[in-house]
Amino acid sequence: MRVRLVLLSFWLIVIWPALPAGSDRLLAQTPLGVDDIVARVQQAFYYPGADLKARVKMTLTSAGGDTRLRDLTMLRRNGKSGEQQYFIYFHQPGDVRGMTFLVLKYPRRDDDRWLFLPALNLVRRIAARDSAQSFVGSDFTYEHVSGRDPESDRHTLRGEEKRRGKDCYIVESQAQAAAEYSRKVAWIDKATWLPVEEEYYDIRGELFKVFTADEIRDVNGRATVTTRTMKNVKTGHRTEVVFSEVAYDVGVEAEIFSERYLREPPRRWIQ
Amino acid sequence: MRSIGLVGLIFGLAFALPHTAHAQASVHGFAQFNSAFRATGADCPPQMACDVMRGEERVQLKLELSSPDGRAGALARLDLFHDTIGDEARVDLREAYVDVGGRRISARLGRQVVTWGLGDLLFINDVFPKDWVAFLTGAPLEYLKFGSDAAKVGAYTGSIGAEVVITPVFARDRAPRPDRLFFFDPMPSLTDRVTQRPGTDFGDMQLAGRLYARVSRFEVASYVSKGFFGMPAGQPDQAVPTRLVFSYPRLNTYGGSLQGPLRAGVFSLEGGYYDSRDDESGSDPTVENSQTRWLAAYQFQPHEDLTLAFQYYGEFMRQHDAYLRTLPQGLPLRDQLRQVASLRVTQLRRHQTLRLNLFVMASPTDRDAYVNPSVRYNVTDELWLETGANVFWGQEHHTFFGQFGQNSGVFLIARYEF
Repeated sequence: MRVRLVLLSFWLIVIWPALPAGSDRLLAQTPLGVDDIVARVQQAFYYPGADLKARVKMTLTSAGGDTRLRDLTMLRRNGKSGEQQYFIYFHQPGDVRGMTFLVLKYPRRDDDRWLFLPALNLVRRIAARDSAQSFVGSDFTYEHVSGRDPESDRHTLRGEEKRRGKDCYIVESQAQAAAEYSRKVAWIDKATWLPVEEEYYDIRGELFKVFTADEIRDVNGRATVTTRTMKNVKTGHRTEVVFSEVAYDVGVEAEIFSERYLREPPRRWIQ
Repeated sequence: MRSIGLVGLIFGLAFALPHTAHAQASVHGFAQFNSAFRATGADCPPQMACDVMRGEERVQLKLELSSPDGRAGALARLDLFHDTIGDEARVDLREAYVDVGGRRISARLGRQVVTWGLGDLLFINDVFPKDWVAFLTGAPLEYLKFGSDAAKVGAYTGSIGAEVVITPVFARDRAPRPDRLFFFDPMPSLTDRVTQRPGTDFGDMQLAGRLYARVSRFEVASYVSKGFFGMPAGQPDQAVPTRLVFSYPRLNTYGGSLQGPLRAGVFSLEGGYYDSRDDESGSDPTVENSQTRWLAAYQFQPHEDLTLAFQYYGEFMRQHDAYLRTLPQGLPLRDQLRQVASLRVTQLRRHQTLRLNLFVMASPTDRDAYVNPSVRYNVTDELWLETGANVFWGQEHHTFFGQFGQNSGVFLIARYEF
């Protein structure tokens, strides 16, 4: 009996590091179907960790080579049943410096958004269409930043192939609800469940945007897209987004996502 | 001399503080050129800046400090500008405050801009000082508000917040002045004028409070304030007047607001009661009667980068009978109800670097209107240009917008941010 207990303990100690914990458990299971793949992508791409802090630098480049920089700090916190909160503080450019942006994201309905304009000391609730609205003038929409409900599309598994050096599933998504695309084809890395490339087709079936995950890094054991690009192949305009100082599970308090901190940005988090 | 000392102090701090123990400091700001031209061809009185309403070069320095743990901070926003019309250089400390506090309670002490309420250029529960001269002469919108020398104390728990703003010394609105603007003056022949401002007694201290909460997807707030009207009341000194005495009558306000999602947009409701403490019976013709004010607004995005916002606003005068009974002969008569409707259309183009704006506000009861089209282009991340017009129209020369008819004109702003 005693020997058995010792053996069991020994076995547990050996096996423990291999056991997935918490939300990662989902990621470690073998997929059953395309909706399962999509759910895992959603988890790996938009929901990793209980919270996230990152410095985000977006470079908008026009077809003519003209560039604009958007430099911001992003805080994200996961709530209950798929809800999320985002807090964004703008460092650059000068005309938006000190501006803050709060998004309360709910599954299956439009998000709530507030903007704080420091020069006017004014908090304004803003109405925006999630699906098509560009985020700060970039090639990314609000949905690209905070995610789109998987139920808004019909997904089909189109096969598997190697893409950008990764073994990938090919998932095609047909928009069933309002979207900026009618069809999206995504290459999903089987190892990390992150999209390494996406193609967006418009209503005429023409390719208009291409997303690429240019750099994927391990951050606290979580695969993270640290450099990504969205290129509009019709206009030649593109946006490159670099995440630096990424940290998960840093303990961002729930109260940060409130009007108070829009007006008084939490210095501890945005420095 | 004082201003040079102030500039020196701020710069001294800016350079000294980064070297102190890990405090974070940053200096930013902008250089700006701003001009406005009257386009009505009006015959101006000799003392008035006529065709050129504004000509100004301005530098703003913004210094921000933050303690290493982020629990305390400070901000100073200092404007140095040259007014080409008066040919004078000036210093304006727009804001200077210290933030202290923790999770539950915090305070902001010093000169600060406070903005409450839901209206777009329509103010009900926002009783904080406004610079109407800047607004009417084509300055950037942020100059409509200026800082109060105040202490703001807030207490917060969950999604509920309570804030009190204590302003020990009254700051009046910057009202239109005859050296820059045409406006309605009921007694133009009385040129001997004095102004009496509220004192510095505790009884003259202004208080404003706001209690707000987020309930599900809705935001509710209630507001209360004790203070003075921002615009003065002119009282003739005797029956056959020789002098006009301006004072700031007492005003208490009580109000509430509600905001939330409606279909694909956002609706806003706000209401307030203006309790005119120095004229409760409504029989003093020089002091504003008590009023009820309300606002209903809706904004939505019919298309990417296009936003439409509608507002309907009303003002209902209490004791209109007493007002009619006591109104001196020859003064224009105001209706009991003033209604205003507005529409703002904002279109962003070229990856949100080009902003086209049209704001139209009209009153069917006053039969007057204000139209403000503008275009702003961010040439680079540092440099933006804006041009637009302020057009005032009214069937009568004494109504809210009608009185400014001869100030209609165009403005230009060029700002380099650093």
